[in-house]
Amino acid sequence: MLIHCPLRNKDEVAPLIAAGADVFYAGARSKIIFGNETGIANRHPWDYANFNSLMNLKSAVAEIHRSNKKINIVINEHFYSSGQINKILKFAENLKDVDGFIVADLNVILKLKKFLPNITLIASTGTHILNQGTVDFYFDLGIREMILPRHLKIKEIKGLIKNYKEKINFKCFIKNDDCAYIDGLCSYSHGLYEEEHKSACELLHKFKIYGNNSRKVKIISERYKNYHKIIFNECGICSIFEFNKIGVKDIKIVGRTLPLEHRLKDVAFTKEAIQHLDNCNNKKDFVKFNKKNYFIIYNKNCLDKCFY
Amino acid sequence: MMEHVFYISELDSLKYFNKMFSRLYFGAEFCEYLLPSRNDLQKAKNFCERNKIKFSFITPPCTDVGIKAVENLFSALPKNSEIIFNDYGVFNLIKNNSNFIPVLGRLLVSVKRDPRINFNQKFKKYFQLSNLNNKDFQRFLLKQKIFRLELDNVLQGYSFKPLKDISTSLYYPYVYITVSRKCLMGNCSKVMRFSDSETTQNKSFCRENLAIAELKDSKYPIIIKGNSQFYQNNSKPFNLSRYKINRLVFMPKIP
Repeated sequence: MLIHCPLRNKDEVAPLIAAGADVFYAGARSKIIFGNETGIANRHPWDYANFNSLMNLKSAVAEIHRSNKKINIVINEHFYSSGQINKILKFAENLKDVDGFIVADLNVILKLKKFLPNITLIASTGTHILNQGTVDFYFDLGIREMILPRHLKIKEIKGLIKNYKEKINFKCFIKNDDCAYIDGLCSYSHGLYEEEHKSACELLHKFKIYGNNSRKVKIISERYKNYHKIIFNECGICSIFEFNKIGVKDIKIVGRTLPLEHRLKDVAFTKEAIQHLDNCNNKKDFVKFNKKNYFIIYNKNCLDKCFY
Repeated sequence: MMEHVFYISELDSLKYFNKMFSRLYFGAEFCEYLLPSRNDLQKAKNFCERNKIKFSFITPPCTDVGIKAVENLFSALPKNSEIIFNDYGVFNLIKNNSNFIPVLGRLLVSVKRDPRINFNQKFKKYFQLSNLNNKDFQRFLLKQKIFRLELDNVLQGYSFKPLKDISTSLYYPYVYITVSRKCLMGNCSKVMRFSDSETTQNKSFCRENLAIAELKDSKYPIIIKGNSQFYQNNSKPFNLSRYKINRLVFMPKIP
């Protein structure tokens, strides 16, 4: 099982590889791709989540390849204009030696497939793959790697991949930054730049519930009082027990905005869980191991806020 | 010639219908658990026949469970029904079925519908962009025999140019923003566990209640119904002919 890890600076490569990262993914600041044109480069467009220069990114790619690891580049905003897609094409040509591009916009998929047929495209969670028909749809467009949304349940993932085990590489999120909504269908703005827009899901507040049945209104009101606690989960590490059985071979740590120390802990935590899989046939024991390890690595108790 | 559409997701809302409408949109746009029963679908069809209006079936984003549910309803649909799809998996079901006319649903039109952006003139032009600005995408749709696209009456408007064979519809007054599978109104159990939601969905529970929330930096309240969020735009729709809008879709209630 391979651990995919977020990266935003060349200097992070060595420590993350030492911790156990197998594959990296990274974005570039909007200005690197679009110049002075206004644009959102990816779903985490904030400057501090992205590489700040093409040179730094290329150096990171070289170092990663020297270590026999891989790197994918994130260009997964839900849409781009024609002009922006032409700039993405140039950007992708310039980075031909990366291992893949994580994309969501159908236009980008069509264009990159047409002009750079040999590059690997990976369907971002922004393609909201929820059913086998959508898997077929993107498979027909030539996509052979797909990142599945966190809100799917294990049995749904099992159903999705059963016909494609040998043909498609499916990847699942395992840690950090849950998304409250169906990413590809969410039209809140994640922001142009940090100071312009924070994600709306974090800014919703003062919920008032309306309805005719006071008992139901009371139940829902209680839930909305804890909206932010309820809606965001944190971790899916225990699900790798099932992933291993159903054939998910790539797991992904979210967190291009997180400090390096946090990501190092996440990689180490995930690596230990994977290694423990070899000695563990019982899910309960696996969960127990992870909870204990969570406390050791993060110095706090597992919150039981689970994906899947 | 402008076509006026009456869009509902519950038969009870038929009471708001009047003779200005010549088509009914019926179905579920956001949640597979809210797909109508065959019985309700038949009632909606009967209503259309009685009132001599046309019928379109609207479908949600689906898991494989929802895909099966949608497929099971196909035999209850009139021939040449429009199916408004909001999921490419649903499109995959109908693309080779000559009984149905596929329509690209508004959830698949990627445009920012964040109500904060109207007040940010600096980036307004950027936010008028959508996936429709790309002609290759429109050509792709035409190649798939998709000739109609559904639009929201977004505050900032659009800037795309529709190709010759494309028509569009405009929904009002509720602008869709986002949809979740984590529905805080989906059941009435005291302890909310999303993993349980599949077995505890209660249609009446999510349809009877509504939440209104404030969004920092926006004067528009966010309306939450079931698993989806909206803002209301009562302003006059933008330039209809420029975007080849020949259908206005009215929602008497949030669907």
